Amino acid sequence: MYCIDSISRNGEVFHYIDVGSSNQNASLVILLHGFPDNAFGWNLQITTLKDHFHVIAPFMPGTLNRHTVPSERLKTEELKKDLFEVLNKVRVSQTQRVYILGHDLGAFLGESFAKDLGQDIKGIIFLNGMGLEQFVSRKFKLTQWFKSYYAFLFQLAFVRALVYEVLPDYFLKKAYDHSIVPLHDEIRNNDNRVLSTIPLYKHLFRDALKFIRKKPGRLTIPALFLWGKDDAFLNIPNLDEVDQFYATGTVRVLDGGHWIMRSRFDQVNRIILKTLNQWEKTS
Amino acid sequence: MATIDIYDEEKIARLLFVQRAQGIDFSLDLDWSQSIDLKKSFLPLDHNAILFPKASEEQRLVISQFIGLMVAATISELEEVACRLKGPTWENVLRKFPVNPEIHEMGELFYEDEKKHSAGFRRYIDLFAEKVNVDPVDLKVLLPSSDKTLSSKIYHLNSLAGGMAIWWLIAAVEEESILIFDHMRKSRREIDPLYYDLHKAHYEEEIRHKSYASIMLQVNSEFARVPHSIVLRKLDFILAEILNITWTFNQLFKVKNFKKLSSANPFFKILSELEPLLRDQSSLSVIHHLFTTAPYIKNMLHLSEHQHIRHMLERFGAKKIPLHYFKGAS
Repeated sequence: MYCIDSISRNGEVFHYIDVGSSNQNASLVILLHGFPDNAFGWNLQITTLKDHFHVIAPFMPGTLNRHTVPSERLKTEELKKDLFEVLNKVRVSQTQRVYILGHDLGAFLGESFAKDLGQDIKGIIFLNGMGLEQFVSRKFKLTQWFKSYYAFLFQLAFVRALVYEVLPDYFLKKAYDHSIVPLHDEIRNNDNRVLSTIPLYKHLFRDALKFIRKKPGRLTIPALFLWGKDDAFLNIPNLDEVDQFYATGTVRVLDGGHWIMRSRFDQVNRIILKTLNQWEKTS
Repeated sequence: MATIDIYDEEKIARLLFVQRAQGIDFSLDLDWSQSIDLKKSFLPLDHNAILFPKASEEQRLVISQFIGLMVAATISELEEVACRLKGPTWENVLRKFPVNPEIHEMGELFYEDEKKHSAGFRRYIDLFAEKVNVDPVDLKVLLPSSDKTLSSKIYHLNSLAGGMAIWWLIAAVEEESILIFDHMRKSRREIDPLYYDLHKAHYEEEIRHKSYASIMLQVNSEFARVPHSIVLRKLDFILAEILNITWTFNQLFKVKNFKKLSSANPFFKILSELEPLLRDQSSLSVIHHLFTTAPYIKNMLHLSEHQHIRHMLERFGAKKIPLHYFKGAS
């Protein structure tokens, strides 16, 4: 069991797992889950990381408690404000190093947050996910259009309602099956709370339009892309794509699907730990 | 040969460590001060002395040495081709289909090794030229070369189209050079020591890195999923076979240049005296022997007969030319 703390902002409560290392000088690692998921989906990583780092794993609004989240609250700018509040609360000093790990939609948020924080972020790890600008750069890739068909369907309110209220179990099973999540994995017990962030797709679609003609900006934060090779939703990034957005970007492909941190947690944890330790030495 | 899991970055890092730790410096670790012993053979021959059953002892020695030079030149040239095509056949492939940085590092080491091997065999050929008092340039006219050949250009085009034919050639040549040394071991005392040491060093490094061609073919197999890549995957080996056979025959035709050097040294005089022995045989008989009995040459022409290659063909579902019709007693 984990300690779950919260911040309150404009009447809305934002929960997060807070597992602190006994070392007060330990760097901070922020784990941002994807869709459909919640912060418990990181439990296999928290177990490993908590001995070395102070780990924070926020719950996207609505994924922990059964309450209706105003759609506006799921805009990227609002979520980033929540994350800022959390960071200000948990960070021991301005010099404490911060790393971000983002999976799926959590990667979109993580990358945007990292851009805002600038040099405070010492590294970012994407697990089957990427920044929104990088995703938009795939606008001419037909295979990515095919894989992302659901993102277009989620623009329609009745589809969102169908998924969240009428067929949550069916949708969750399909999502986890396509992602090659092991049958015994505990995230298969998730209920429709993990679907409460579905309006995120509507906001992200609008945010994406900003990047259609924008020249890519390059981050100097070191970035690692950890990818399950059989990702049914996102193409594996190639190095030319990564180089457009990151001065120091690495790609590692593992044998697995979209929830690579569940299906290959041993290998993922090993790589994450090794990467973070390398960044600790160089940052 | 055990297959390597391309996703196991720890295993690949370990292999890389071993390759680096046990790497051989071809300039410093081989005794280049020892002179080439022209009284010793370079490669063991069969009882037919390749294509010359009526050859005298003196002629057999020269044939063995010349075939040894041809093998040295072939290895040198084909490894040089691999290095020249590094960009389109390796760098571009791994940029498009990155798996992990360890495979990339292993590739960098692979090409360093190939350059080193190519230079080592070239140096031996130059030493031989010096020994027999001919210009190395004149000697190399008689030996296999890949510079600006049509084969090189076709491999390049194949790689631009997303094919991996060059990796099949690399896998086959590496397997062949390992088999050559295995064969040489049995006749160590009769072989020129420097030539033996060169092949031994080459063998040791090839054994360690021969899995790399298979790794690259696997990367392509796992990630290149567009229709034309799937078609190329089936046909790449056939292309490598066709190019290899045509290249081998083109290089063999260079024997007609023996006469140009016959006055330079007894070595070339004896070589040029072999031509009448060849004319005694019909062209069909010569071709038959090249494909079925001529050691070293038949293996170059039957790439698909190598055990390692057979496994890879099955594993990657690649097609081959049905050359077994040409197989005879070895």
